[in-house]
Amino acid sequence: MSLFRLIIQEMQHRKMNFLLGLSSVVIAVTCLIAALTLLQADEIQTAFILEKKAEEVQEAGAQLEDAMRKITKGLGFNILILPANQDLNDFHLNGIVSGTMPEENVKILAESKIVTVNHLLPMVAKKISWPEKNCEVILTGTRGEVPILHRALKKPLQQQVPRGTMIAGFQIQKKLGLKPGDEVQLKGKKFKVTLCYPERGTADDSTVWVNLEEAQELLGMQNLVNAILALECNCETEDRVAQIRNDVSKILPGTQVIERGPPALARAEARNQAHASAVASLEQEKTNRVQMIKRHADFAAVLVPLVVLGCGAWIGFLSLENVRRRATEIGVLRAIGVRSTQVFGIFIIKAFVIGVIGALIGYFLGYAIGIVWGNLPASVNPEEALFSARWLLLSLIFAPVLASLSSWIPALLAARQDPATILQEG
Amino acid sequence: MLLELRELSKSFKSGSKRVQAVNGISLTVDSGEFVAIKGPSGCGKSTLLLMVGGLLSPESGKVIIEGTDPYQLSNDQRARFRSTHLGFVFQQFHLVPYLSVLDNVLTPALATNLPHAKERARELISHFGLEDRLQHTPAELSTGEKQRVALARALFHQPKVLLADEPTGNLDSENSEIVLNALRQFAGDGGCVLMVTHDDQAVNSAQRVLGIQAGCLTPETETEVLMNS
Repeated sequence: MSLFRLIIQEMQHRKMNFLLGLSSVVIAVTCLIAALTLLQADEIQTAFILEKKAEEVQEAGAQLEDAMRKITKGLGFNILILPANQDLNDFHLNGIVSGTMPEENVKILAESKIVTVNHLLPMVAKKISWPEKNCEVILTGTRGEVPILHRALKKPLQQQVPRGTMIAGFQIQKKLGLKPGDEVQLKGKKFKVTLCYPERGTADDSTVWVNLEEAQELLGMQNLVNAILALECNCETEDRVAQIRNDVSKILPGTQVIERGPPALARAEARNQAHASAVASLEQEKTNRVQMIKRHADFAAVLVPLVVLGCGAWIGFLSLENVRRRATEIGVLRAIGVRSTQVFGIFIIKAFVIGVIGALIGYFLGYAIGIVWGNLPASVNPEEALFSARWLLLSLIFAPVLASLSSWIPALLAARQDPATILQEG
Repeated sequence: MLLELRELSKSFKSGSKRVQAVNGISLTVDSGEFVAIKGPSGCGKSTLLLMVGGLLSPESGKVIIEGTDPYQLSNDQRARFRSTHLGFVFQQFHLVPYLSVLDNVLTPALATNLPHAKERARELISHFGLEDRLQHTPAELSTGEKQRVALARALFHQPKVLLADEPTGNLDSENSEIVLNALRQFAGDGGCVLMVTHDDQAVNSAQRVLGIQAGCLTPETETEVLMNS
């Protein structure tokens, strides 16, 4: 006869007490292991998703960059055809065209077979003093688009400014308090303000646009233009400006062609933005996953201790009930010479045994929950990925300790019971 | 002298009063003696037996068993002393309900190591005619069988002193006789039996009968008992 045999026989006899105690341990361990396993599954899932996402982002980013490159390339760009006598250095420094060329050049170009330029806009532009308003403005005269004859008529990008009307840039309208419908005088000539542009952040904000002929009259530049603006130009070759420059020089010898605005820079910027957008998407996914794991971990950090405490209290209650039921047995055992430490041991060893059995069952239940609800990718073997000998060992330590600690006070009470009192009452 | 009680006293608080359960009892019992203490319920019989058994410390006086005062020992030493010197038989048997007959008889082995424990337990069980009940639990036994198992358990570790508290209180005359014969035989083999009872049949089996009234022993009566007959 041994204490262990006595304990096992008692557990077999009081099955309900044993099963209730065991189920408490199983619940506590299952909860702990399921939480750990599901968090592990979250991490595996996250690593997998991020890896896949990184590949997708890399691929999609490359595609997007390529698409952006093609789109921006296909969008075309603007060029400015300047007179032969225009000092380009002066133009780049001051932004104003001082040279002139015959307005006839536009007609020549429009009637030519050129295919690399579109939307021709002849213009005059000069910084002038506006005596009536006592300020300086850039006066720009434009006659709207000149259709290229050999091609189907395209929808014009910029409409003609009708005679007697004026369009004001943002700073001018702001400074002079202009609004559509106002009538103003410029160098003795009356104009009706038809439109005020919103702020563009360029020299356009200090510009007023009038009809080309009227501007030529005001500036004394009859039949002359400062430049021809060609919008949305395009060609198949890599060095498109050189190609256009070549084409234009054949038709208008001596003229100079420059690109207006830095499209290469814009394309690079678009590609960078596409790349940055892909990286940001990946970072966002990472952040979301980390936050999700943290939410799960926070929830587990509250739930698991609560369940463990509840189960511990329940095991303690069951042990106390067991001690109460076995009072006479304890009295008899003490009478025949069983020491109080042995009585204490009977209850602690029983709790320990329940803890070990509960740990094994609880671990595999928690592990099974992790496999079923872990939602791991198909390429990952969940049985292998989620099995942890470390957690099994943790369960085998945690559960017996929990059960033993919960039964500690009842076991002490049993050991300290006075056998004489019990036997007198029994 | 195997057992000696010197001026043993014990009182309990009952409500606001103090009740003197055992009042200055002195007694000596030699090896081979079977002593019965007879008295009505609540006269202090069981209290006296628990004090002799080292389970209830006296307020004053001494218990000497084979030259040792168990109350001079530590708790663990006293428990070990009980496991080697004392055997208990109770009116309610107090068998462990989930253990078989064999395991119940073996329970003293939890406290002390005895060589060939199983063989001895089987011998005792056979001696009491329970060999076909070895694996039965107490719930499957008759009242008489239960007391025989309790007796086998009390004798298992070969104690010097057997303390019996109303051992025949729940038994019919046939089973009572079996139990009393066993007690007589134990005394005849050199042990000593101290039995408290109010059963006349049991009293008649003892060599010496003492009365107890309000915690005090009354004059002794010698009884002719044919031991080992």
